[in-house]
Amino acid sequence: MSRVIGIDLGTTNSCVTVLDNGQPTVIPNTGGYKTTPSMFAISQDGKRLVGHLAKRQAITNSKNTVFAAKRLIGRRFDSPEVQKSIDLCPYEIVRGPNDDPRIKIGGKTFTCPEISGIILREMKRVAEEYLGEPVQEAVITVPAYFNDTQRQCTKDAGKIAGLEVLRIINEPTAAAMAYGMQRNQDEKIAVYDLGGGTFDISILELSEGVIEVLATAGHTFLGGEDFDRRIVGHLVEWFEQAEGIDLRTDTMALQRLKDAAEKAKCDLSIRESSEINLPFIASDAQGPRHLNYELTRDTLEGLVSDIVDGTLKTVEACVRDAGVQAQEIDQVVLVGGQTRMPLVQKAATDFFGKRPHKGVNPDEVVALGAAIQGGALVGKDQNVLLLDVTPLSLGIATYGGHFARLIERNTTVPVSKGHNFTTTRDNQSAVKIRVLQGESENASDNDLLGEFVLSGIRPAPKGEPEVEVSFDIDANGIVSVSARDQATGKEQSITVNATGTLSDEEISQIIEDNELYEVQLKG
Amino acid sequence: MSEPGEGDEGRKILGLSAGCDPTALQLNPAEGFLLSRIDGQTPWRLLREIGGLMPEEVDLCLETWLARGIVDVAGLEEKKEPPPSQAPPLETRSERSRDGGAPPAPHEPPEAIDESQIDRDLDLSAEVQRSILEFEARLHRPYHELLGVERNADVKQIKRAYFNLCKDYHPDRYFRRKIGDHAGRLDRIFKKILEAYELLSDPTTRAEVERSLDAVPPPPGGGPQRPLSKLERLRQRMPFKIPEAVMNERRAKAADFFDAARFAMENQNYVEAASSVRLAIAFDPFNDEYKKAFAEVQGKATEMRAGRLLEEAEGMDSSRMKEAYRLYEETLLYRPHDPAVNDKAAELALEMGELDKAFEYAERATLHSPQVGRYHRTLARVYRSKSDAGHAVRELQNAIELDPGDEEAKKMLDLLRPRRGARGGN
Repeated sequence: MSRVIGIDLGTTNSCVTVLDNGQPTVIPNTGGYKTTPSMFAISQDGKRLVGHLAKRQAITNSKNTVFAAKRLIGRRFDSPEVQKSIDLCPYEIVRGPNDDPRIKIGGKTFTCPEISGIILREMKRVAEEYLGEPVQEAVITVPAYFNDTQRQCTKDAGKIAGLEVLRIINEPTAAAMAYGMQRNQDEKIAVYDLGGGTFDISILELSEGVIEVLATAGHTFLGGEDFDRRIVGHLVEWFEQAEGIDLRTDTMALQRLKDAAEKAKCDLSIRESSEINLPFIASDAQGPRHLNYELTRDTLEGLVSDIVDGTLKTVEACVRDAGVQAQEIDQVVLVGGQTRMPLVQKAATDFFGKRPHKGVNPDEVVALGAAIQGGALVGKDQNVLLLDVTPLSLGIATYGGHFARLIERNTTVPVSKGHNFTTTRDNQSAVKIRVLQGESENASDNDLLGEFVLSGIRPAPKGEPEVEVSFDIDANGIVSVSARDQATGKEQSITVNATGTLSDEEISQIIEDNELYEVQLKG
Repeated sequence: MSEPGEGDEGRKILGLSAGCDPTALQLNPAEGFLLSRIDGQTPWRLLREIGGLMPEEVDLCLETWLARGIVDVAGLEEKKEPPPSQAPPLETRSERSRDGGAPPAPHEPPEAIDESQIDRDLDLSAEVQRSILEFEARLHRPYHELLGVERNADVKQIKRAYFNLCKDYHPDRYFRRKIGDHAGRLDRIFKKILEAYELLSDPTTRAEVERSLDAVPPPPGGGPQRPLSKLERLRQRMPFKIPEAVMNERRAKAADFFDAARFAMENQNYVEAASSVRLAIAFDPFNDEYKKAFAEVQGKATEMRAGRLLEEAEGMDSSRMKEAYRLYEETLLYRPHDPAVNDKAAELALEMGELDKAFEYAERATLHSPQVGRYHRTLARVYRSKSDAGHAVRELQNAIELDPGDEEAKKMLDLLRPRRGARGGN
């Protein structure tokens, strides 16, 4: 049997790992880099480019280069996140037939799972090249806050890449697994993960190889890119004042600014100031204009301190959720490139009253955990067991549009829970069970996973019949819901197949298309 | 010394000691079965009948465990029958039990599982399958029992117990393995463990759980005895009567098991046969035919087990002496009076420096077979190690007298004699 790889499919960078003699190991790509940019582009002459190649030409081909597609995956086109992305991204985002966002580059429209699939295929290729054998199975990580649709879309992406996804696991949990491998003590740890596009905070408990998630929280739309954007915004404003030229509509300039901002940001993690030098950024009647700006650490911290403070509010809520005090946390693990920033480290240190743990590479730790979980599942490593939890609460819609939670978020799976409900009208003969996922008290604000009707309830005054609704989640995260009329014993149930935004036919079509493309490439 | 089966001893009710963790013991399955019968209710004499071992072996085990503090005396059986001096012999006593004299043996041992559900074709060892089946059979037990924690366990202990159970029963542990029906069982077990952990780790829900357990006040006299359930109290107060229809059903089941046992016996599969008869007895505890058959088959099974242990032990070189010694000691549990085994155990005990044990075994060997010279030689070696040259010489002389070709004994005697000779010369 082939080996199971672990993939951290990041918003900005992805990382692939494998268990090598029981040790999780990062697989470098052909360029020797341990991470690969999650970027996909179609070049001017129609070539498909992935990873570093895509990044290298991103400045000159910004309209046909996709980045941060992870922020779009599994969302509705009208969602604020997609709308925000439309404002920010140089590439075109259009409404798909299933109300899903699709990406139009190089005259072709791609679905989001397809884009992620292309990145995953690249990671698979990197692994196969390194291992010298075909790879078929993977464990992939997602942000803790991904809902079922987003998780399913990620699975679909795996399928498109030719991978069987054994399990989707949460990024902070994966980080803890990698961490738990290295240290074998009983402790509570906080995983503060500030990556390119998402922020997660999780409180976990490690004990003798068992990992339990006490609480997890975060934002799917907060990360290092927001830092970059603040810098870009600052530079644009400064340039407008200094030179009187507005760069906001110039996609090529914006891409250069973003690139420079990212580089300066990284510089400022080790230096006090960094020079931004962008010759020929614009031109007007007087000729070409250059941008020369000295960005200091103080300025940067001033630009982003509210973002960092914002993460701490989430941290505070999560710690409270976990039922622990900040001082009780034994270790703080920082994950994600953005945590290299001294301001972030200081914020975490101040909050928890202890210095974050060093020795875990923030860019690789999540992917390492994925490989460990892969090994734990297929039986190579029996010393680790992950107790997975539901990321969001599950329940049903009740009278008045309220949301009745049956399974609270952060509940360990597999689990079953039941509750009795009743009718709201006299002689009501049927009830509609709407299965929802989310944290809002208003049913309509949560995601609808599925619905069904239980009919044949014996006529009775309202409030008299008893209908037991049971939720069941198995170890693979598959949710089934049943409703049972206690009087007649009549029962209805559904298995909530987490639906992605693509149908099975569409996925097979995409796979077929890609195969054609592969042949085309080789020919 | 009074026989434990008779008199006051036999009316003793044994219970597991409070701090005892039975999983830490080194027991064979038969002993494990006996241990699992000890429930703080069944008196010693009944344990001799249902313990799954020969009565003497039950006594030996119970005495050992009492001495080692694994079990202790939970109390004396209530006086509901004539004084022990008038107690009729075993068989008739069982008859009395059926009439409702004493609390009956547990009719449904909680861990009794249907061995036929163990499927050798699965990607799961029989032990794991058994543990899954046994755990599933216990799912109705109170939450703290499921987690295996004391009533007063703190949150940390509860968590640790939960984590440990997760390692064995979380479905991911058997990911992609061929586990058949056990998948559903694991799912049920894990959900129940999770429920127990969730309820017991939250002070509010835990208080509720405990209230429901305490709804039945502890029996008068209190003390360290565990509180009895409602059903148990009912049983204590009145003779437990099983409806005839249920009893017939059980007898039919018992007969099925007994048939299976006979079949296994014919195939000389005594271990399997013993297990089937044991189940037959569990369903029909007062059937004398079963009990007689059980004694016979258990004897055969232990004989085989001892034989296998011996084989194992004999194949070992000195580097594995400790293990061999343990195996011989274990063999002695089955064949306490076998002189050859005692002799071998004595030799190994001597090597291990356990002089008292060595003496006990060597002496036992010579007592049971006084005509074998070799055993006297071993006893002599023990005496020599105890610096008791006088006895050593006497035993060596015995050995040589019984076996004049025993060169080793002669050599030993020569080595001991000069000293004696020197003393004589003075």
